[in-house]
Amino acid sequence: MWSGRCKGGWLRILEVLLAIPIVAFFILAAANLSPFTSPREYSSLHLRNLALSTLSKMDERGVLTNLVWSGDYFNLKAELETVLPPNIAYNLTVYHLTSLNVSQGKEKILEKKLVREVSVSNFKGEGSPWTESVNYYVSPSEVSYYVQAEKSNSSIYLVACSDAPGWWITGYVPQTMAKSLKEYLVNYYVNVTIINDTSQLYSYLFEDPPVNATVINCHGEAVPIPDQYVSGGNPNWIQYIRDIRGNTLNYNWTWVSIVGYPFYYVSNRNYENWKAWGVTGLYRVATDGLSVFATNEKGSGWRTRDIGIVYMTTVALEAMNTYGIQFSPYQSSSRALERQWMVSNGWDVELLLFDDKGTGYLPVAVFRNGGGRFIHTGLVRTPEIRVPVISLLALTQPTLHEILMNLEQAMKIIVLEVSYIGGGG
Amino acid sequence: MRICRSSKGQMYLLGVVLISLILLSSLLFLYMNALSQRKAYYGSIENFVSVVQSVKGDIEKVVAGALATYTSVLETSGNSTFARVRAKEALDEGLKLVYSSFTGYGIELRYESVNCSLADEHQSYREIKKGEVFKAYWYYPDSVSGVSLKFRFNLTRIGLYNYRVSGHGKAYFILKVAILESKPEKLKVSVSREGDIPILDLDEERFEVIYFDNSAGKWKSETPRITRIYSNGTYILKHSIEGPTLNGEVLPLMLRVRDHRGVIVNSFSVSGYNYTVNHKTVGEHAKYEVEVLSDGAWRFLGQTLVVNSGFNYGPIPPIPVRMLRVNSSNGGKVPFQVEDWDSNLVFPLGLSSPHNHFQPFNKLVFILNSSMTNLWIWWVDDVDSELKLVKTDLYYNSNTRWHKNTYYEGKITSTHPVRFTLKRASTANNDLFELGKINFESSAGWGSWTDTVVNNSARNMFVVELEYKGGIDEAPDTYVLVTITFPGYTKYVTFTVKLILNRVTAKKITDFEVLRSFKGYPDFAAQNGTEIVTSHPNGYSKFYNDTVTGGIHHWVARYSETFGTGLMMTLKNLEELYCLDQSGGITVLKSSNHLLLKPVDNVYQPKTTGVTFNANNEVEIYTWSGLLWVYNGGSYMEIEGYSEMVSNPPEITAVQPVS
Repeated sequence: MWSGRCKGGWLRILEVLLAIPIVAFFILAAANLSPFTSPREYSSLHLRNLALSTLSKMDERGVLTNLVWSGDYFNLKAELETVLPPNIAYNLTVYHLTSLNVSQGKEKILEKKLVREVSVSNFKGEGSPWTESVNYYVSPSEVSYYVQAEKSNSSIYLVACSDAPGWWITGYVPQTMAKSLKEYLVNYYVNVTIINDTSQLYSYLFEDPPVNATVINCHGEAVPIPDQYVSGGNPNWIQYIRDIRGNTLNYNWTWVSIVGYPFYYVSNRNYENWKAWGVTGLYRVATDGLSVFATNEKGSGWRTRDIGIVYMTTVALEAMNTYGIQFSPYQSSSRALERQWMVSNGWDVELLLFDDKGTGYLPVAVFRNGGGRFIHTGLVRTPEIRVPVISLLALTQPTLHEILMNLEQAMKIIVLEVSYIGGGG
Repeated sequence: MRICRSSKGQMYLLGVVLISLILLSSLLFLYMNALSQRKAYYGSIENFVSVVQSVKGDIEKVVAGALATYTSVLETSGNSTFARVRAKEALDEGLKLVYSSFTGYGIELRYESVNCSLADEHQSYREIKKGEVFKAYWYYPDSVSGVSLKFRFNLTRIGLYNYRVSGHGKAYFILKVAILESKPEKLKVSVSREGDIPILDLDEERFEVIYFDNSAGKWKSETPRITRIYSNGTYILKHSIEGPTLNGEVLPLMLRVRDHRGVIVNSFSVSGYNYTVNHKTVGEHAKYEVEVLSDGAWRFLGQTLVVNSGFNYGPIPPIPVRMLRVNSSNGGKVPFQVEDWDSNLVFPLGLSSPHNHFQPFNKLVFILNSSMTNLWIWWVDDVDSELKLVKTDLYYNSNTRWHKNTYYEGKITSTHPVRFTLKRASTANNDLFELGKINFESSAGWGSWTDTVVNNSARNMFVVELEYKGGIDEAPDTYVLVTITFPGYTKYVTFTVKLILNRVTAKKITDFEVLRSFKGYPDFAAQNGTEIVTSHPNGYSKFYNDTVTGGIHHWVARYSETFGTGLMMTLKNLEELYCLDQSGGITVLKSSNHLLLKPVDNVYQPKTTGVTFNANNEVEIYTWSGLLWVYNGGSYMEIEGYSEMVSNPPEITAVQPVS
């Protein structure tokens, strides 16, 4: 009996224990899922809209983007306090997206990360009382494409020695050509140096050769030769051009020939008995100059051809359009360089700027041998100096501020947190 | 009983479980119901307000940014196709970001290009065609940039479908700038956006005034000062440019406006120039190879054509050259071309790229004939327009390298030395000329020579730098550059010889022949038919007289045969023959009747005389120009006509702005 009564009681207790949480859960769930909105949510919605519309209006007027991108947070705060009602506490935080190279095992991956820049707030208390927050993307005030480039740190040397003549640059002297070239190049390169005489030439380029330098020879078919490479009044041009070749290959130079047959002459006006075409200080080395540069040895013979009128490749056209340096895509090429000969001597064609018309002779091209490069501009004189400029730009492709092309990195994200002052939320 | 009680307890337990199941089912039903109600109520309020606005706002940002990209790339490159491609890439990149930002809402986004009108009361033709998406009508007093797109998006997670964002038949975004008044030191402009909403909050940095500085010979820019803003979007801007004005009223300049979105509009205060030309010489031969420079000045054979007092030339704006046009009152379209020269306009580089912005190193070239009394140089406002070449009678055979038109054929027939042959079209009669003989040494063109401009509408060109085997005796570091132009429709070609002295070394020029003819010139003529030939004691005739006021002998011709050529020079060119040596001039070798154009003539002087130049590290350039013409058969009147043509070039009696 005792045991039977006992069991019945336990069941009732179990029954009640089961019923209580079920009913309680039902009531709580019903209350929570009720379609009627609480007053708190109405006010939150209002706050959220207020925050969003505040940012939208400011953005529409250009104020938000200007202040955020100029970093003028003082006026941003003042503007917010003007626009928001006085009973609203706010906290505005500006983040920007950044990309980081992160090692993942052996590989490196690009990880995007939000970085906090600054917060402005009118809330003086402690803690985080915010009822609502909205996120807002802010693109730069001028989401556009700038001519101003992100300048490259690589050094450019414009060889324009006042004590050495040029050839095939009629209408220019090396100094005026260097000046004209510099006007184009300073927009894209931080370090553009004009080498003014042959002693500077030796000191800058041969005593302690710079690495990754671009050397533009403004003397046309002639290359100024420093006194250190002259003995007994005779130019030791073979060693000189070998050193240019060596520095190009070993120090990753880019050597730019702006017109005609490269290395056809060496020049230095200190040696008045050197005369070619009636030009004082011009010493003809003929085709052996290029031969030594390309192969390290003399004797390769004539390696260019006149292929007449040539047309730009799409690579060059793209560079012209991108950098806004426009000239005729038709040019005359009388010194197009033999591709096969260059390739067989280790100079691969990296870029072709003008079409070879199927001749195998390249009018304007960038050749690469290991880390060294050679830009050949085999057009007629007088040189169109914008051609080597475009060759360099097509090769190095300086970054323009193409903000929308990389929108994520150009975005800032604003988080505006708001709350009623003194509760009500 | 035990068993019975035990079963009863189990039944209770079963009952409780059943009740629990029923309650749980109810709860689930209630939950589902509540969820759908939440979608219906909260979704329509909260998400429409915030999420939809966010999506819409982001789309607008991306579209505005893409339009800004289009206008910026267009301004930089001058190539509207390239700009459009870049802008579309930017649009797609931006929309991808919008998509990735709202994937949690199940966003589905589509857009399409639609036609829309940009017409206003002055330009009814303006529109954005389907497929273009971005468009600009620039360089007019009222100019506009715009984008036309229609978007639809779904946010499937909150049950929102087919939300449309569009300009409702109008452009999605535009920036419109109208120059209402351009006067010295003052600009009145209006700036508005889509929906004709005035933009009132542009600060001064958003404006850039670009003007041609005549003294510097180039375009410069400055930021104007805003002196007043009206509620209709009209700005009064103050700048420092005082002139010159056109017709005493309009100041030609460019205004660049960039709004908060980065959208650019380039406006020019006039849309062209109307020239009234007073031809002092009429007739079929009176055709002028006119070069128009960046400052707007017209030049013929290196001389600027005079403009009547009270009028000024207006500068050719720095716009893509494919937008330029030339028209005349009688003949409609006038063939022209734009050429690139070096920065000092010393040597030609070739035809300009159609996308190149017209600059001080450019020349606009056309042939002006005596029937053209009114001429317009103007430009279209559609940045997509291409320049359609208007063919002339000019032809270049790239195999034979003959340049020819209806009247003449010319080519370089020898490069060692450089010799030039000119003949009447389709005949064998020809005259031969040598160029640039110096210190008794003939030139050569071993290096390279080029027909830099070929098969174009206004003129062809030949350029060579002469070389001298072993150099020029006594004149080291001396260069000679020759340019010959072949104009369409004319009976003449022009030549220019430049002597370039690099005075790093001292030099002496004892004798210099700009031009020598190899056919005899048995007869000579001079102004008014007066033959002025000074007998030279050694059998030469000096054909000059620089003492007569106004100059007399600026031409010489061989006219008594069935075919002949003539040499004609302007007074200014003629004076250049004496710039080095007073014994220079036009010389005729009596024994062979060779014609010699000689700025330095020391033939009968000891060689030690001549013109000496000390080394002073300067570069000096001397220029001699003239024209060589052909005619058919002994008409003295024709020679007279050419003389008149060169002596009395047209005057520009008025330059009126076209607005």
